This record gives sequence, C-alpha cells and structure tokens, in this order.
Amino acid sequence: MQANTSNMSEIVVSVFGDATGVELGGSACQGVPSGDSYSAEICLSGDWQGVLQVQISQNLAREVAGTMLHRQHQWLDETSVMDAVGELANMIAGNLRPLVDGARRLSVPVVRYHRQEAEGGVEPLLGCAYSRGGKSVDVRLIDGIQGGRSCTKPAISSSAARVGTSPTS
Amino acid sequence: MLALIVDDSLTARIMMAYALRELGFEVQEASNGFDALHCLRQGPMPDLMTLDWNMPGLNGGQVLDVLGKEPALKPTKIMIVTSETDMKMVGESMSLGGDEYLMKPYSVEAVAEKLELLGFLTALQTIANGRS
Repeated sequence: MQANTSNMSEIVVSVFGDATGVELGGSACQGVPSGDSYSAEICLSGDWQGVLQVQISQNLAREVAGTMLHRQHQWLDETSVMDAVGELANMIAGNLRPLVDGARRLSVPVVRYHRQEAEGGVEPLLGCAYSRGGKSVDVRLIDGIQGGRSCTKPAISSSAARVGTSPTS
Repeated sequence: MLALIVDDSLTARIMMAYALRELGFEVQEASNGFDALHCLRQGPMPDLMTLDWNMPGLNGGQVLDVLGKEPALKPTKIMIVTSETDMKMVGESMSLGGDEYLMKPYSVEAVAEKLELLGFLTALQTIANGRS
C-alpha cells in the first residue's frame, strides 16, 4: 500500500487548507476529539475494503462549514454542518484512494453527531490527528475485514444516508 | 451564461455556485443525476454543466451515458468535478463525454483556468476586471 501516515497527513492538511483555509496544527498522532463532535465515514471498496473515518470537534466543524458555505458559522443549521463534514471527508477519501492498493470505489459519506466523546473504535491501519485551541480532527483508515465492518456495497443507495443522526433528533 | 451544477452534496453545490457567480455565471442546481436530466429536458439549456462523478442513484458516468444517447440534451460544455484524483477515472470521464475535469478541493482561480480551457474567456476577464 502506497498510503502511509506521512502522505495521509499531507492530504488531510492540504484538503483542510485548500477547502477551508484552516491550517491544521499538531502532529501525526491519534486521538478522537473530546466533547461534542461529528464523524464521517466513507467506505472504500474493490479488491481491498475499508473505511475512512473523519472525526472532527463540533467547534472546528462549524468553523470549516462556515467557510465552505460562505456563511457565519453561528447561523448554520446542523444539517448544513453535517453536509460540509461529509464533503470534507469525501475530498480526503478521493485524494487518498489512489494510494490504497485495491480500493476502487468510494461510498457516499455517512455523517453522525456524537454527544460528548466519540468512541475510539478499532485500531486503524493509518491515522493522524490534529488539535489546537480546543479544536481537533482525527482521521483514520480502517481495514474493513479486520475492523469487522462490512463494506460490500460501494455506495449507499439513498442520499439521505449522507446525513445521519443530528443533535436535534 | 448559465451553469447547471450537479452534485448530491449541498456544500459542494454552494462552493461551486460561489465560484461560478464570481466568474459571471447564473446558476441552477440539481442534487442528483435524475434531477439533472429533468433540468436539461425542461430547459433552458445551460452553457456549462458541472457534474459530480460519485453520486447515489444515477452517477456522473451514467448521466454522461444518457447524454451520449440523447445528444440534444447535452450542454455546451461539461466539466466533471470530483474528489477522485485517479487519472484512470479522468480518462474514463473524458471518453464518456466530459470536456474538462476539476479535482476537489479547488480555488476560484482554478475554476477560471478550466473555464478558459473550455472557451469561456469572459470568466478570466471578469476576474481581471475585479482585481484592477
């Protein structure tokens, strides 16, 4: 697999910078955001199956969503924030996929809102995390088989699956 | 100039709409391939269609397939816009009828460069006027 922690980190930093103007600080470590957060999962499928998981703290999610949507972040509804998080994960996955041997297709992202700290999940193949000023993001590439996840369907058939549980539900 | 933005992501549509409006376009939006074809059948015919590749239901490649069989529906220019950075997919989308390919994330300047390649020269003139 050509993908490694270094180029994965480069992709994450580049996507955040180019899409949102946010310069991520920190190092290639692991750690899910504390407090309320959003997670976006995208299945990679083909000869290799796995999941790209992006977990982002609520405050950073609202900040990047505001930039992407050209709106003040405090006026954004949760659906818009979750859609922006999904699109961010989509960009990371699209840039990473060619480096993952055997991964040919990407699914539509599934986004969830987590009250308080999200679960850490299984040990990833690759991961990087950034944290600064109480804002954080954790990106993981998880092997589908080892992680016990099923990624047999390359795409989720309903676009409604893009937006998962919102904090208002 | 009129552009039809086709993407299942609201965020992606807003980002592209912002860039295209900066460059002088009026925009319409479609959130999936079926709605895109409906817009094309209803008219008016857009000068440009930006088309996401990976969508649920009818994906970008399938939309191009339909347009290949119904050429009267084909917009003047089609630009594939996607996060996929695989050059094989670039080739595939071009062979199916795409005129240009734009990878996400992108800047307004990057969109302008693609529009120049597609022959929409006034886009660059708008940027130049805005900066002077």
